[in-house]
Amino acid sequence: MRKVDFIITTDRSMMTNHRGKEFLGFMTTSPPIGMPENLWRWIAAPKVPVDEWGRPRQAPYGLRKIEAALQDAGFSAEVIDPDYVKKYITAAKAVLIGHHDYFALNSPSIEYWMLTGKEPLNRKSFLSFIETVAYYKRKYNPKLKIVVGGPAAWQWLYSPTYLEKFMVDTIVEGEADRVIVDLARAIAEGRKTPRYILVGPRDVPGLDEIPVIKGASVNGLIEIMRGCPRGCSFCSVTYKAIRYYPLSKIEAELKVNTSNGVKGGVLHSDDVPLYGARGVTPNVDALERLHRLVKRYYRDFTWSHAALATILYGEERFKLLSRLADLILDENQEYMGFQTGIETGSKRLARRIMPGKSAPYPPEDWPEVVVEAFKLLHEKLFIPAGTIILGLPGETPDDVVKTIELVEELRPYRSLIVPMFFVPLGSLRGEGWFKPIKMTIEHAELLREVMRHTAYWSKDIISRVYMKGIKYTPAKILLIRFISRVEKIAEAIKPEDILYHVENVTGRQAITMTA
Amino acid sequence: MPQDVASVLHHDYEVTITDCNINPRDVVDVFHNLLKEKGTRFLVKVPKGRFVDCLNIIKRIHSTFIFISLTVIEDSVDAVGVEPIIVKPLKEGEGG
Ligand code: SF4
Repeated sequence: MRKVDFIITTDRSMMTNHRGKEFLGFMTTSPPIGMPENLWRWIAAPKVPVDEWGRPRQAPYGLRKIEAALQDAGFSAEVIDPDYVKKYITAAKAVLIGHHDYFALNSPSIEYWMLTGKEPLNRKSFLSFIETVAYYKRKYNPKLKIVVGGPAAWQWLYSPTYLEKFMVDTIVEGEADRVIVDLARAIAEGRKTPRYILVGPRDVPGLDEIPVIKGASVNGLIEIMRGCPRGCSFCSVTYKAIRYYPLSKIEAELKVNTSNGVKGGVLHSDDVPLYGARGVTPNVDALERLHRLVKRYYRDFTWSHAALATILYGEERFKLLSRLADLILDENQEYMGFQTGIETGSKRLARRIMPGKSAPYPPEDWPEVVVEAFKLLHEKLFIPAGTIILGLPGETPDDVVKTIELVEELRPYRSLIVPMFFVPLGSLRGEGWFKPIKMTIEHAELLREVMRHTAYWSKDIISRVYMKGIKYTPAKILLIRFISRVEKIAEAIKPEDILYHVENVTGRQAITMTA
Repeated sequence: MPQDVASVLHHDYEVTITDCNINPRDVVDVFHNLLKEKGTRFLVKVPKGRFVDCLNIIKRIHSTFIFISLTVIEDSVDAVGVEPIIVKPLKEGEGG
């Protein structure tokens, strides 16, 4: 029997390549709507191919980093598909689990949960998976350590019932590339382990301590930098040192992916066009070299995130987007998608909570920066998925009205807009997740506007650019049918109905379901 | 420093909590003072088997300070009546 000391894994909502379409991953953050759960799962989170030992051909990038760090340190550690975990349990020392949103408490899961009153797929999938792992531990290997980490690690602190029920030994929060090796050593030597580790900004790994992945990542995602200089007050990324991967390291990961059959990918950073920059002025040379390199390996690729101010300023000063579009868009790639933060249409709020988001433009120009950047992106065939935040600290009804006006102004530009509720962690204790934000009629109107915008453009994006080719036809038909339904609802619904629904039906149901 | 603390993180201060029922705000006050002394990396000891009971305190620290490093171990004794919070500065190299 093959033995692995450290099983690195997660549930099916994460261990999937979403049919090669990262944006289908959003479906795992919602409960099934308008179709049976099995069909919803089939579209959003199909199984990934595995080898004879249950090792997935593609795995989430964060899990690959942990695997690489442990293998580099000489440990027997492998990413294992959730369906194969049982085979390794008896002989393993630990199961290391990562996730983006264990209990659906992050955006957009929490919004879908609140609006529908039903548990999102990612939460259901994870709870059933961890229940099984805890059962294996109890039955086959009581000494097995269960370690949880990843971007949603903090959620365990707010879920004491699950922490005990699923016998979690250690929570690791923050950049774990370095700390995981020491933790594994302690586990291997049978020493006592901490219950919680938070890796703060002073302890983040240096570039040479960040390992190169050993196996392919889901949809070819690779990191190009860590950190962001913009200093938004609600974001912890900004406290970390900025580290740009050298091109040699990026190329090494591109090689790992392409040698495993990956043909396209995602460049991951909190602001890709700031790669190699000093402050907030883009470094055109570094960006062109980066994109040329990636294009040598990937037929097509997208960015994970980009800031609108970087895009607009880069174009005004260096024709940056035009130059990058020339490098990226070709016969293999017709568009470029990425996520970006709009957050608010209020100048007042922008100045208060994210004064650096618009830099080098003043925060007073923020709505114009957003509109001009969206216009430019539309022209260049770049498709942003912009987030807006409801309930930011100090928000007034007038601020929300400004955001509604901004969303209306963005209507002509091909894009998705995703609403998020601001949830201050400090006030969540034992109260359930939905109390901190009091939905107002303005919020309801904003939600309706966003639904209209996103339904309108989703149909266009799915049918014209995103899901081309015969193999996507069944999923595409189902999705278009679903979006048409949402579009009809969005056209007919009144803000009062949304408010009543959330306050009296779905929100209440959601509150009673939280741990 | 106990040999069994598994962390590569170095700590500036060791904060021992002997009573999980103390007001989390008192712990936050202690941390504020230690931050003034330029401490940002903390080893927090909670009573054996009481991590979950101490979560209110850990959550409060977690949500108040977003720029600190923290290692929480179950190591102190559950001793209501003695000092509920004991702070010890650690020398460079200790706590790792
Ligand atoms: S621009 Fe984005 S990543 Fe940067 S600090 Fe603001 S929210 Fe965080």
